[in-house]
Amino acid sequence: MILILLWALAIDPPDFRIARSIPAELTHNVDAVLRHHNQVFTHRGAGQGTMTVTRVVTVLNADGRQYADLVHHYNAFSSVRDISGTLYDADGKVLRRLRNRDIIDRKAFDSGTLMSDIRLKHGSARHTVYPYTVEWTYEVRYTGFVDFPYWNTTYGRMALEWARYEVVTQPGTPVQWAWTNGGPEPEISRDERKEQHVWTLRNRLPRDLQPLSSGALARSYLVVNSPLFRMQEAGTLDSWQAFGTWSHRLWLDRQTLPAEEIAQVRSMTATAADTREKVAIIYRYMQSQTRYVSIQLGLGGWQTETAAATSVSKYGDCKALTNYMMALLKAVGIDSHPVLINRGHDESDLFTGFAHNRFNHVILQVRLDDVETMYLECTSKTYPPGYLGSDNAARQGLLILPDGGRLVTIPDAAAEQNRQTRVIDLEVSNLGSATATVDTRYTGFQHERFRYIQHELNARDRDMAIRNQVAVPGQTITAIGLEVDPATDQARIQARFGISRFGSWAGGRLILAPNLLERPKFSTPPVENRVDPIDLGYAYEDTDTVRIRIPEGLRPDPLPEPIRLETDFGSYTVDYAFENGLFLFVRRLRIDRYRLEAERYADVRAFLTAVTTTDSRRVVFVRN
Amino acid sequence: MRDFPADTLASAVYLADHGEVYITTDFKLRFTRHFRIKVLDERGLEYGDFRITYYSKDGAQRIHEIRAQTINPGDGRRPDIKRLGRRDFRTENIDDRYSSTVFTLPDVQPGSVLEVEYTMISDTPFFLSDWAFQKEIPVMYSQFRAFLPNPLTYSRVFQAALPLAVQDVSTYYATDRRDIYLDGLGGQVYTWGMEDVPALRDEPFVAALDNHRSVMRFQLARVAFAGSPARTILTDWNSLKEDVLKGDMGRHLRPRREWRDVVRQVVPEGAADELKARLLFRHVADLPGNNRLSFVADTDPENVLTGTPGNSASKALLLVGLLREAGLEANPVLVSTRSNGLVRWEYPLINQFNHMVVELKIGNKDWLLDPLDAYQPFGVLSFQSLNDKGLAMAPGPYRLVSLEPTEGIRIRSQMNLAPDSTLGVTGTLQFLLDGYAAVGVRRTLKQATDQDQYIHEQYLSDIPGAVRLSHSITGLDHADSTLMVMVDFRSDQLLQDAGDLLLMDVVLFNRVKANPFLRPNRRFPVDFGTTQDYQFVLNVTPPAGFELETLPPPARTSLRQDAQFLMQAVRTPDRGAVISSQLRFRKPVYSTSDYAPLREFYDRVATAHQSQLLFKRVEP
Repeated sequence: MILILLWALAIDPPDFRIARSIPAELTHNVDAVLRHHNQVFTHRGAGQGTMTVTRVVTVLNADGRQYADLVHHYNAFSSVRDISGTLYDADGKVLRRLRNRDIIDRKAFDSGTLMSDIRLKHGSARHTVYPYTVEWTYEVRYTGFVDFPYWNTTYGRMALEWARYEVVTQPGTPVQWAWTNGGPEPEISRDERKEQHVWTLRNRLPRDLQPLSSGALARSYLVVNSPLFRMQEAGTLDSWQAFGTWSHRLWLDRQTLPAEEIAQVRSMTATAADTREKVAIIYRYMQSQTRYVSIQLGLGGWQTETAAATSVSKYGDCKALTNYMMALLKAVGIDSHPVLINRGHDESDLFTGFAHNRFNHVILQVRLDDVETMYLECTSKTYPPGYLGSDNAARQGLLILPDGGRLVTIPDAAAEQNRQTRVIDLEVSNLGSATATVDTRYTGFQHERFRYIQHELNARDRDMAIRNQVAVPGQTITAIGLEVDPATDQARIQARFGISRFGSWAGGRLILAPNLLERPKFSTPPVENRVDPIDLGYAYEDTDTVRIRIPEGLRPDPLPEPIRLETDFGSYTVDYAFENGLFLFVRRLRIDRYRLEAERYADVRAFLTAVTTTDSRRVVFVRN
Repeated sequence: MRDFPADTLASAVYLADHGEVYITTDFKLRFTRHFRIKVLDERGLEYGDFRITYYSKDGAQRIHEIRAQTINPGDGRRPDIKRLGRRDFRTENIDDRYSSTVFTLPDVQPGSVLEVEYTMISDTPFFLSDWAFQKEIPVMYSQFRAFLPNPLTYSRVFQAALPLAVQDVSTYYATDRRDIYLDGLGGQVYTWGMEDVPALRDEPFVAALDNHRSVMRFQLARVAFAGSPARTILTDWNSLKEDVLKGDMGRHLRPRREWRDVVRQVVPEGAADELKARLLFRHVADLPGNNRLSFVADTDPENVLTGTPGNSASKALLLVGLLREAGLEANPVLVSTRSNGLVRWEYPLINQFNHMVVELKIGNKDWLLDPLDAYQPFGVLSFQSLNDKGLAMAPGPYRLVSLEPTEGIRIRSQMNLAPDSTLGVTGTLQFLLDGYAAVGVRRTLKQATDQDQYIHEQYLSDIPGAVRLSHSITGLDHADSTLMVMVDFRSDQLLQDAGDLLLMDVVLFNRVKANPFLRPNRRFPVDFGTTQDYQFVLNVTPPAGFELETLPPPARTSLRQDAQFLMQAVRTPDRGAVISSQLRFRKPVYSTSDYAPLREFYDRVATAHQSQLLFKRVEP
């Protein structure tokens, strides 16, 4: 055994600085190859650590140059030092060396964030003759963190030849870890002085997301930490309960309000019938008083501003506004608690197995009674009370209670809640032109973008956005309007328009497509090796009823057969009828289960293909 | 005031916007801005967030004083004023050159008035920046006042979409303001004011919104201190050109030994002039650039040759050097790109430019070369460069060079469809892309991670149920050639069974599905940038046992000679059909008076592109 090991060591490792040593299969359809990535994080106790990184990239063509740049983000709790870079030609000969002074240090701009202390180091060494290779080494010192540095292994059009992440801890320091989208197990070794966890990746080509998948799959990274941490304040990740205890301290005693405001809130709610109504009144008040501003500064990225300060400034980030709402509720004796979540449609779920800090947002939970719970999104000025938004729904969050944290599931919405119900009345002339009246009602997640259109867009863009909802070729709109209900999650668009050519005459027949507006486009090319789970967004139900007044003396020939598709994930039905010159088309598409296993792709594809085929189906009318 | 009747779209309005600039005794430029914004509705709350960015390297610019407050109506007797404290202003270093002062005003509500006043000190009088009278929200009154001392002469560009309401010049004397640079005399004080300035809002197909903005621009032209010779900084295009050629640009254009070596390597012995130029252009275009545009080289052209990625000027200068080395007549041409706006030729200001291209003359033939990157064809300006005229940096009197497009967007496509008896259709699709159509597609094709998926999305997503069987691409690596994409596919959804009939949509690539101009009227010309020419041919054979019953009706429409559309269908001997569609826009820019007819033209095309073919079962 030992002999074999020695023999293995005796083989020269390939020199990563020489471009031609790249295995040929790794150069297919990529612009660069990550030859060697060695990231070593040495944990020196809670909140203390150093990371050294050595990274060697071979650039194969002009589009690959960006991958050889050094880009490292840092904040007030870390500093980057001893950066050095070397540019090699194809044979591994040194062309240029770079030092700290060649590195640009600048603020990292993030659209939508007004104040932030996140900065980045950027270094670049480029050559004209391909391939060439760039090597970077640098060190990062940390003075505060919850999780260890993550390892992001998503690289765009760059193949990976060999990469490893080594976490060095003192013996007996527990290490917790998980991959967001799957990855190798670590090799673990220990001696008296230290313990090492090493994850290694080899020979991987990038790949695109398969159709109908969640954007969360596009990024893969390793989350790793150790229970004892320090981020200005010491805390532990022994359990979600323990991490919640630490978080709770950052919220503690920050809910004091001016006496006048307390009195005001109390009088506003004095006649309210029950807790739900009180919460609604106060939520409306909070919305009218404040506006959202994104701020990420120091521990301020973690700790909320005091309610007293927000009460005066009337702006804040998600923490400040949630805390202010908490304080307002407290003023009328209603308990509420923050819930940390990872907001966004393309964010992957928390690992429930161990506590970690993958959160980007906070909402507020209010217990109305023993049964009912209400969640509040405090950064919206227009959501109805209790409406949470599709980007907050259906995920785990960490409820921060005085005695610690507890995982809770933020509810999802069922198909019945996310409806689009449309009624169209059409009158077709003998020439094929038509007049149309359209009335569409939207609820739940389906109404969300209309609330955005109504409140966030200026009148001109709003007008465009609404017109787009009913756009058909050759259209003249005579009336159109959007209503968004302030009190409930509902919106409605009503429109009247003419269409210059709805039906066309061919060989004495009138041909028309009764499904005027609802033609969703699903990209479902065949996929040979489906590995990504399927994600259709959310559950919903669309109903279209189209009543068409046909010119006299015409009848459908043939009257199309109805369609009935029933699956375990959704259903699709289309019915046709004709009576007294009135042609009726009723379409119902319902998706109940929107997340499915990869193996179901063929079923989903067949279903959606049938939907698109039927959606565009035309009907032929002949003279009686 | 909760709304602004003059502009119902506005979410906020500048009640007043005042700027004042003067030069201090130690030649510093002191700029003070003072404005009040009224927030009209909730969308206007974002005007409570501020970021003032300045050039902070070596203290070149700094914010000297700053005050900001929110004024709310209060109890009716006294307004409620909330003023920011010193610590509420945060300074951020952007990088080693720029910094920002960032702040947020408290208690901003619809109806609030936001008031900000700050003074910025710049350490040289060169930093006299533009004054924009017009903003993205309406301005009720905007005024700029400049105390310009006699020793300094500034050239001004007034780009006026609107008239000035106030325009005043008077003399000021040293005694008027003690902190002003005097030089014994004082100088001129100018005041320009504009009233009721409407908001400037973007629309689709506008090259640069700034072309339509009312703005005053300055450039220091001449410095003449008593007792020392006057120094002319800006005079006319001739002197400006000569000065620039005497500076770094002249140095960069000097012949080098390295260039001789490159020409020897790249150009074969005895090559004709045009071939020489093509080879040298390709060589320089393929060299790495840093994708930055400038009329000043950020690195010596020699460094570009050895691998430092240079900006557009350093690559252009290298190309000029190599072409001249090869015995050809070539000159740099200064360009203001589309997004940078039009050059005001009445004002010889060098900083109106932001890019450089190369003019080449062989015999009596001229080319313009834009060696930005490897995707750029020979003799074709990049789309960004198509902006009126450029300035030739050539010996002799100054000369303007037309930057009109010599190429357009040209797409020719043909699709052959062969339905079979199972209602399936196999098809082949061929695209020939030229001009600007090819440049863009080449770039995206080269950068696509998954070419199969890209082909599907780009070419098949409009064909119901289409599944890619195979594809091939030729001309991908040759920027000067036609790019050809061929795709074989199959679809089970194109044909619809309707009794004894089969229906099929006429599928034309680049079919106009909807009118891009939804709004009934428009304030700016429609600027496509280039001409456009789309030709599509659809060739359909009928499935066995069927024959074509009717053809779609022919369609023809035009916008004078400036845009044409023609669609026609003919029967083929095999009982199928050939449908051809030709859509041409012969002008890169359509004026506002063309807007209504252009919109109608699009409507007609979209309607005609919606047609069907009908096949009837034939008795065997």
